[in-house]
Amino acid sequence: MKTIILGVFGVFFTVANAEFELKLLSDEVISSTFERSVILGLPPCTLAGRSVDLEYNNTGTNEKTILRNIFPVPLCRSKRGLISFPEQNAHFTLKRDLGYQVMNLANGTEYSFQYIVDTERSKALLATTRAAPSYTQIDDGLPARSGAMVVITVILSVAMFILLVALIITLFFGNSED
Amino acid sequence: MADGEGTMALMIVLVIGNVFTAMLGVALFAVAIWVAVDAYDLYPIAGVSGKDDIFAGSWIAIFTGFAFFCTAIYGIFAALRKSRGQMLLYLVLMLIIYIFECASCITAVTHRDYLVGNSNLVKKQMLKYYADDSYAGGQITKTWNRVMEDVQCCGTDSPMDWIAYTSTFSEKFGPTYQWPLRCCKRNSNFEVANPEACKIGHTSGIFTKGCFEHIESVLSRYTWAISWYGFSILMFVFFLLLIAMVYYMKL
Repeated sequence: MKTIILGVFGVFFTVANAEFELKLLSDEVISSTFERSVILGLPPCTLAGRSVDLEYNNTGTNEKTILRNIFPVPLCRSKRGLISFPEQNAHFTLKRDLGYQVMNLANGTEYSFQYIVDTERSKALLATTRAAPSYTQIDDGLPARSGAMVVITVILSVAMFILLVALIITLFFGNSED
Repeated sequence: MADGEGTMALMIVLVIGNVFTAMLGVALFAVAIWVAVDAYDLYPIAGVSGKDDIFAGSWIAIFTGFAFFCTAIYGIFAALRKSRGQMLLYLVLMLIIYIFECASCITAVTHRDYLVGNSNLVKKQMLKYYADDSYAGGQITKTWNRVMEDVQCCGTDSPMDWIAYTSTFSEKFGPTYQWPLRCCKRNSNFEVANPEACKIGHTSGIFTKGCFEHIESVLSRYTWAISWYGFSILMFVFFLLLIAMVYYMKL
């Protein structure tokens, strides 16, 4: 009997601490990683209504940051456009229905993100912010000579030369007949 | 008399050829004016980069087009009058105009290769000069604003250009604004349709197409008008001049 009860409780314990997926938002956005921020996907809507905390860790310096009660998990509903009432304060801007943008990150740094919803945690997600190189590094020299350019240059140069030579010959022969 | 008939045949060929050349010359004159006027207003992209010989070539072609017209008309009379001196003058003038026109064709197509051979030059220029305070910056900003609005595009290859590299714009307005507000989709009253969607880069609020395709097609169109059309005229005139030289020798 005791074994069965322990077994049952054991199952409940595992289910309660199940890890849910966490991914970067990849749907319909240009990019989910910027230089100073990252857009995360939302926790599954089965946890709707519950308040979410976010814990992220700079894997380089091991600096941990916890943001508490950042948003409630949205309800399950069909895909719609962006709801246009954002909440803003110094730390974040919330995009409902789409994802969560974590701001004030350092550029070119790897972070580990994890949602905490009551007792449940998401799987840890490793994401790196961009380290955009300077535009001066773009090589804007002549990429290649196009076929048109080669044809036009070669044929016209040859034609000019032939005409010049022909004119000189014409003058020479033309005058010597007089 | 066989020689006389041969000369007569050459004269007729020359007259017809010169009539055709006059028409070609006027058409070149007109097309070169169209390029110089730059209806698409993309000159600053060429001007700021220093590779603006598509437009310099068009100015030369305005001159050579009209000169071909005038000299060809003169050639008709020189051929009809069977005058050696006039034919020689015709030949020398045509050769000078020929050389100028060759220069126009070659330089236009070469600078086109610099500008739009790939998207790097236009991209670097956009990142450097958009939102810059200098005169060149003002020109480029205005041009890009107009292109983004008309063509409904953002960035050179895509909006990713704005986040893949640092830029003058990102130094001034980042990280709040990743890309200019002209990248945003707008309503018919020019209001931004969804500012938040645009800011985070959601496809419902931002143009996802790059502008390079449009810029490349316009500059190529200008170039083909000057260089390929000029080239075809020059090939025709090449054979006409050779015939004129034979005619001159027979006079």
